[in-house]
Amino acid sequence: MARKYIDILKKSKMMLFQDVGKSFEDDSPCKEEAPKTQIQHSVRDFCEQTTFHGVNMIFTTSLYWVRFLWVVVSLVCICLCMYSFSHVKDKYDRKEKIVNVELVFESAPFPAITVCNLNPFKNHLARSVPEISETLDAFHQAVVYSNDATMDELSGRGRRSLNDGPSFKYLQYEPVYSDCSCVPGRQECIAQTSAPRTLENACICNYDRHDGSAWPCYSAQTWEKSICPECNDIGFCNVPNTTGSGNIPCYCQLEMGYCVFQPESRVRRIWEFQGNKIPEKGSPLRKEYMEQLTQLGYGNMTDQVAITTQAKEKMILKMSGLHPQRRAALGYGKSELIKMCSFNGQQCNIDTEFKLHIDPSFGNCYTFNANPEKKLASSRAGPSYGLRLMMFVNSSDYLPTTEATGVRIAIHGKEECPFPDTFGYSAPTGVISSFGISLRNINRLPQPYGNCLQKDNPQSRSIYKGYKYEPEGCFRSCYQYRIIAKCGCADPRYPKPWKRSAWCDSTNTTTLNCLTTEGAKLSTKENQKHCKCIQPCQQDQYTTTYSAAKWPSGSIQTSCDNHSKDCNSYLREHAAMIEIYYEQMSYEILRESESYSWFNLMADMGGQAGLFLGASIMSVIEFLFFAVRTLGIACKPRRWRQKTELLRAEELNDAEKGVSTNNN
Amino acid sequence: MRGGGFVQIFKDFSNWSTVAVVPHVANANNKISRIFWIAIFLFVLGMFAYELYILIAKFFSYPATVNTEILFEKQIFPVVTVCNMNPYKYSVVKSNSAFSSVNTLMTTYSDATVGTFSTDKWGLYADNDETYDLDSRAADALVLEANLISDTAKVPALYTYADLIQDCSFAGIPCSESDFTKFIDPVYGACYSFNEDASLNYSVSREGIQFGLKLMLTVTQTKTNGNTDSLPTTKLAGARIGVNSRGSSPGLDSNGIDAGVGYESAVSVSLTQNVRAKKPYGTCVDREPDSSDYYKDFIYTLETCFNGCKQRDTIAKCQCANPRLALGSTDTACQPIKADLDCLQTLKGNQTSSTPNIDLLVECNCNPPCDESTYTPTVSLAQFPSTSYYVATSSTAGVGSCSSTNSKFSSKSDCQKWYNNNGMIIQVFLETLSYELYTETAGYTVSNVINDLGGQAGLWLGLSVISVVEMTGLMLVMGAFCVTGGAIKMAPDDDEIENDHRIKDVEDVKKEIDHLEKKHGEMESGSDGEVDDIENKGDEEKKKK
Repeated sequence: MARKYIDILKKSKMMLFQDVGKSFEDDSPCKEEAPKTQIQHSVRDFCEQTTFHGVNMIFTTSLYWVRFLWVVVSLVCICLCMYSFSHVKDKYDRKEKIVNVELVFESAPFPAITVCNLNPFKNHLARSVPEISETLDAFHQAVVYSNDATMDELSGRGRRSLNDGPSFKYLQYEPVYSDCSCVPGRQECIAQTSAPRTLENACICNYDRHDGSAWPCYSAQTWEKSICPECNDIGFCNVPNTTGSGNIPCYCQLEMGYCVFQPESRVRRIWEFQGNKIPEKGSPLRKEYMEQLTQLGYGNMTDQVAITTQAKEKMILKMSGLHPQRRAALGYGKSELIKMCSFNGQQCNIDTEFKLHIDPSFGNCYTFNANPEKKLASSRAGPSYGLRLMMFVNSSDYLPTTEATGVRIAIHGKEECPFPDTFGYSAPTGVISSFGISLRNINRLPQPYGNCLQKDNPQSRSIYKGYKYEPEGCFRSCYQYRIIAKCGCADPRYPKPWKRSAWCDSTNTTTLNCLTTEGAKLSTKENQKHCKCIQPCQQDQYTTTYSAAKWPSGSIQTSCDNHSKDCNSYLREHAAMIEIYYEQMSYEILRESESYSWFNLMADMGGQAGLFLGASIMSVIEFLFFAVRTLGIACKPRRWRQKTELLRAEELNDAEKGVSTNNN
Repeated sequence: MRGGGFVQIFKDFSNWSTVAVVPHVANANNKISRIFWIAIFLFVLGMFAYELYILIAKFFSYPATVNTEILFEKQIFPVVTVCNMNPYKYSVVKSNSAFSSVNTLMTTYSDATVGTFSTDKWGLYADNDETYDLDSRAADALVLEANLISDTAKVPALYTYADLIQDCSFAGIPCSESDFTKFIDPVYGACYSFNEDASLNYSVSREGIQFGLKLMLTVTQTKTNGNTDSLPTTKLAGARIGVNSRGSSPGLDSNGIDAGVGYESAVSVSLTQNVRAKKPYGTCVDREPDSSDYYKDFIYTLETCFNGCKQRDTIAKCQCANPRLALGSTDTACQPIKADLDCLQTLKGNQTSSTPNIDLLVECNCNPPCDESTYTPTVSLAQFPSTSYYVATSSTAGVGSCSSTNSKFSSKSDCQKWYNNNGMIIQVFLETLSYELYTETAGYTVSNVINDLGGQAGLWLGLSVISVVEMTGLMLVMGAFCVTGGAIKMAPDDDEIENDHRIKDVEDVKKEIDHLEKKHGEMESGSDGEVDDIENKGDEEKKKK
């Protein structure tokens, strides 16, 4: 019995040892898998505690089909959230603008008003300038030809050139060919404006450039072309073989014994610029007439409007080439143009409050309220509290190229350059013209929302120094740079960008053709693409309404300068009354702002994240914490692992020693 | 059993629910706390329901937002239409047999103005004491008489391009007759539209008067020999100018500008574009229904809709159509007889008499167009021609320029006087390249609703889509519980625990161990030497266990 018990005990002992061995074997893989276990443990903890809706459901259930369902629902919600995010992001990336309209009820500052006569220069003064006189004479010749409208084929092409030598700017007398009738027995002849049959039958006369008279006239056979030693500045010369050492071309009257300076290589024909008909067919002078017309730039041109436009352009070019003081002298004076002025019910000082501005198209213009430091404002709305002007235009002294009678007005900001030929309104004579203005202050957004020029940006390429940026000024600067590049000189109608650039010579035919050609090219559509002129970010825009009434009325009694009997008729023909005023004492401010800002983007994203995921910033922080912790676990160095393994091995050894001690 | 099951399900749900306040209700320690949390839950639920109602109501009110954009770019030049105020040449009307009725009408009208009345078919004698009504009736009669004459027969009396337009240039470049489209207006006769043809691409990339259209027109109310060429019914000497976008009806009666002779009229225009929203956000329409669209060849505008409505009203009341407006395919024009003219006169009353006239705003149901471009003109004047100007013309068919070779006039001043009485210059240009674009869009879209719904749900309840899925799952579980009648067990009870076979096995093992311990005690008392070894081994076993 005792042996049986011993055997049983031995068996149980063996079994116990086997169990112990198993436990040791099971422990060793746990050591190796410790980092993975920690990572899994960390993932499980995060998923159970996160505030992301749906994620904690996946790990709190033991049923696999329910878990799969939660995974699908979570993924669908994440996709929907991403889609909504992209939709909101697209809306933000469009960078839409919104314009706020604000009505300000206060007195707006009065703008600057520039007034011009529609006629740029006085006719009787412009005639005294040789270049202008020649232009008008050529204009007359072209008009006479266009009336006939008969075309001949032109053959050959001459070239006109001025003689080198002393300057004869103030030349008064020159020889011209003329048809004339001679009295038998007398040497003197009388000039006529008709065309002679041949040059041999014509006379040569002393032509006075100032008054257009041709007298005295002598037969062409009694004149001789010669070289004179000296000439005075009005055109008379010493006869050859006398005192002097120059070589000046001249024409000498053989019988009278005097000589006249010849300004050009071709003696002018009086029937070309003063006659009313062209030479008849078959006459040798007709061909010569055509050649001269071609040289003047009006070849093959029968369109009178084109002729007028061409003449205007040439006149503007030649007048712009004059010195500014001389150009101003040919136009209208300040007190001459503006007869009466009142602002805000008070009389204004015409001499001090109007500033001269020389416009290439309209000559002398005068700007009211041009001083940026002095602030003028209307106290009330209405014509009585604005600017009232009486302008005297003197239409009897208009140039033949001026189409209409009246005044030109430009309304602009104080620091802006006036462009009355482009932005302006006309006002006729005999009428009181009321211009009611309204102000709109436009504020635009710069890049990346819009495309406008900031006020602080430097305008390095603007030819209008001292003025604010305007697209029109930008276009003209671009044009001037182009003219300098193509023609080698600056267009005298506009300011030049550098002092070293030379003005285009208005007497040079090649230069004139280049200016005309490039000017025409620039007005076409394709060439304007090179000028990238954009709007300014701050801009004052004045919109105008116009109304007119007859002026003066029949009952008013006014006094005129020339003391004519019918004073009202005189004013109706030569004067205009202008009123410029604010229509209302409020103005609009249009301000562009961004329609969808970053703040809106964050608000919408928060709404969608809350709707689809229940997520918030705390959820993001939780996720970041979890990510950092997981990375920390995964990236532990191997040495640390070896140390832990050694420590565990030592613990096992200690355990075994304990067992052996117990055995002892 | 059933109530206990529901409570158990709810407690289990509340432990893992993501809806706010719900876990607090389940985990409350006492009744007072539980009532407090239930009250809070009901409050936030009510607030959320209220906000949800506001969101839905706002969405279904379909609000519209109007965006204002100020654009700056190159623009297509608008269509400029010019007509003579005088529709027909009086000299041709008097001599041409096709215009015999018109000539008779003019003669009768001239006699009526000096007080001589005779019985005529137009009824001019009925207005012998009302000069304004006389003028109005004569003008209507002229339109009706002219409508009977075919367009081919009208040609000799109409103004040709060479008669009307003496000079044309665009941005300084000459234009020609091929740039104009001619059409015959019932009131103004021949009219010419510049830049109407789509093949022309006149556009403006700079603003200002130099970069627009310039026309010199002669309306020739008196010929060079002194004879008048205007009809007696023509009130004004000048031209009618219309500025509109391409494809639109000129609308000269409502939108035109009068330009008088003797002036240079500078017309500066600025563009405004409107893009409107359709139903349900706005009321705009692209076109009228085909059955009521009288202006199929033009872009739809409010003006065309009102004109069509007026024409339908005229047909309903007078049984004939007014040729001033567009005629439908089945309509018959009114005849120049007294009965029809009387009926047309009755349509010109006001809305306060016993038989009120049509009220367009009430009776027409006209909606604004979805895409509209409008040009706002500003006109300023200057006297034309100046005393020094010789009036350059490029036309060879006209009177010619005021040079000394013009044989039609005795002197230059006579020629300039003729132009002052018969001619004018028109300049149409863009005042600025900036234009305003008003775009009406939906103010509250589905995307906005989703954003706001997420915000409100998160604010009040911490709700999300997954929370909705949770509650759906809760409903499913409760439904399953009801269907099975409580057969589903959530936890075992005490009886089942006792009967579990695993518990029995554990108890059997305990008994065997106790039995072995007893046997160990007996063996110790039986043997001395072996007892020591057995005791030591037994101790070791106990320690390890």
